[in-house]
Amino acid sequence: MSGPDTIPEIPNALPASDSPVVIPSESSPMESLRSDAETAIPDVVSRAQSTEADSDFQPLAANWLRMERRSWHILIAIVGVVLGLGWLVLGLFIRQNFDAWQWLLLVPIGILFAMLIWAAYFFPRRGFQATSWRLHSHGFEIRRGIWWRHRIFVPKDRIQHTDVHQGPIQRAYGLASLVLNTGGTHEPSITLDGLDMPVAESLREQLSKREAIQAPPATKEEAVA
Amino acid sequence: MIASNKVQNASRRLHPLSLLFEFASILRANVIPTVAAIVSTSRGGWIGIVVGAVVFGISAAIAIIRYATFRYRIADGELVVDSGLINHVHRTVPLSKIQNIDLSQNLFHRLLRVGEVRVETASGKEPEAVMRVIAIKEYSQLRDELLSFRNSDGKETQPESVQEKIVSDTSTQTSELILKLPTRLVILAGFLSNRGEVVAGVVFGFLWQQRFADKWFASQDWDKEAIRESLREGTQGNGISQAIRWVRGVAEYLGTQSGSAGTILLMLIGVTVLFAILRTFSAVWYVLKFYGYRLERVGDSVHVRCGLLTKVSATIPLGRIQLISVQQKWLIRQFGLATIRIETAGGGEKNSDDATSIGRKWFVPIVDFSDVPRILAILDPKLAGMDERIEWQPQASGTKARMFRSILLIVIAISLGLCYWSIVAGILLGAALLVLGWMYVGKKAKSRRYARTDWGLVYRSGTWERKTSIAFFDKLQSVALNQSPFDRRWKMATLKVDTAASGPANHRIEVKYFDAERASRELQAIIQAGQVH
Repeated sequence: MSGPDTIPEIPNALPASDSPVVIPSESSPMESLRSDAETAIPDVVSRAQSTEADSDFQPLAANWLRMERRSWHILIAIVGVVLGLGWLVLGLFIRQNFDAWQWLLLVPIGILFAMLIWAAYFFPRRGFQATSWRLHSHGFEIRRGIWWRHRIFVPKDRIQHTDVHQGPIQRAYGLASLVLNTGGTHEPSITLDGLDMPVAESLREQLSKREAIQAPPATKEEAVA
Repeated sequence: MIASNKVQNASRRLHPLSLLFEFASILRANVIPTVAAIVSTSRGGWIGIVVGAVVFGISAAIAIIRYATFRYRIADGELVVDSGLINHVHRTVPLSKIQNIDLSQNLFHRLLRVGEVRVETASGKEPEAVMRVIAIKEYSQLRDELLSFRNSDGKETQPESVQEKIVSDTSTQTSELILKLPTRLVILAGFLSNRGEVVAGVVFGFLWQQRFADKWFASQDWDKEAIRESLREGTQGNGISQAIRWVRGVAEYLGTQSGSAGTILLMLIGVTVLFAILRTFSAVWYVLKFYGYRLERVGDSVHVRCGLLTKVSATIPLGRIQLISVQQKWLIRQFGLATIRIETAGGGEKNSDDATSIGRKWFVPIVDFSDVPRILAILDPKLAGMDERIEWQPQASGTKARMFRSILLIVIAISLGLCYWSIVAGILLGAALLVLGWMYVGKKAKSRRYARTDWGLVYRSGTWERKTSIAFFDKLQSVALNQSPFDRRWKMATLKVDTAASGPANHRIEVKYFDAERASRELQAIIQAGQVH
């Protein structure tokens, strides 16, 4: 299990939680991470970042990836223990026999387990690659979704109020969720998870101001300042 | 702008009595375990004491945590609320967005000079902040601060007070008649509408509640048992379904008396009579509701007045209109008529009284379609001559094929099912359905249209009920682009626009099967246009 201090699967190690969240340039690790997700199929929702001079799209906090992985690892551990114990109880007490069928049962269990391990690798990584945000001078834009891709723009002056939400697990990783509430009917609140707390605070600050936003908080230091 | 920043920047807490009221509120919410605990304790059971202690303990702990963690302050034109111990929420509400500060006081609150305060903006159904409880003088201070902020920034007072202002000014301003509906047209609209089903549902529901029909039949010289048996089957469900079962029940009974041909004839007569009755109900409902309909323009708002017995009048400030929707059901379209519905900001379910229903859902209940452009131009001069200037965007290639593919599976399933009994019938029906399906998707694809103008978006959809909705850039709450794996395969995307208070028009601007590249450009263009407006 990789802890918050090591993320060996990803090349060109991502910035640690206390280092600046830099704007991804064309040759940045973020781009190389994303490039393997690109295919020949037109993917307008995520292509936006490369074709529309959108270098100001920001990734989520690297700690989000760590938190997600840790959550998946905990899930795998729980499922593993439950399945293992179930298999043992079945053989020892219910059937009282470790015959070929009992051993054969390990195959679906193994497949399920392998799928979980794959999911633990796939979902956090692809979720991280697929999600990004950017601050416009007049609003906020979010891009997310692995299979069902979603891009949403909220004009700044339609934001009724903003929440910065921090649960106990998020707090352990220094993360927070930004919730933008509009007067809309179908999507009255738009939530972005996985921001560094100072970045979330800074975004809240910028989006609450009544005058146009001058520049996005490019780095965490800038955001804190 | 604000009198003394020093005072306002300081965080304030709730009144210490909050502990008591919060505790009481939590106990009220857990009334069942509380009562169970009391009952059990009174019978000398120790379980009751344990349950009671746990409920009281948890309630007290929650009350203490809520009191201890709740802070609010006004700083830099914002109301800032912090709450929660485990799940910490830091909420910021710009004062300019606050629509209401409601104070509610029950007897205990009044005795103790405190009150429960709810702060609301235009978003959502839940209040943005609930302060349970603060001292009355704190409430007055909060209200004064908000008012002083609004007064220092005149235009921010507009959203809430504009409606009252317009209403009070109507006596001094001249009104211009936009539309007057003759009773003949109202009756025609009633006959074309299926509103009668609702009235019939209520009437039949009432009659069955009273067992009226049962008693009536019992008084006739018929085979009472057989009729009752038929009727008994029809007493399940409500309204229209009961009515249909009722007719069927009678027809079945008579059919046993006079043969199957008689049954069919009776059924036909019954259905025709029922249809005529329903449409008459509908016409009556329309006359009751829209008799003497007048739409007038008074200053910067429009005024709707109508009603035969209950006269309803609604004032809609033009600036609050979020979306205009011109709708034509198939039958209404055949008569060259249309209805106009609008959506206005500020008001969710809580405001759904007669006036808002007339003002929004039944804004223009019926109008000659050729007269629609004139009314639109009065609602917003930008819409003058819209029809000529509008440029519908071309559809994505493959739209029809994609729509057809989705119904192909259903057609194949039906055909295969029928082939089980008769292969020839299965193939023939399958072929017929394919032709019909292809024609239907052709119509459906053609009915979906989208255009962007220099002031907003126009979206049309619907084959049977055609709806054309107009949204303005300066009223869009959010704009989104979605792409499912299927969309990606077809090089398509869905463009969605969210407006405030959408509901009465029942037409969301959701442009499906949009060419992917074009949709992406549209999103950018809408964002850009929103900045200009």
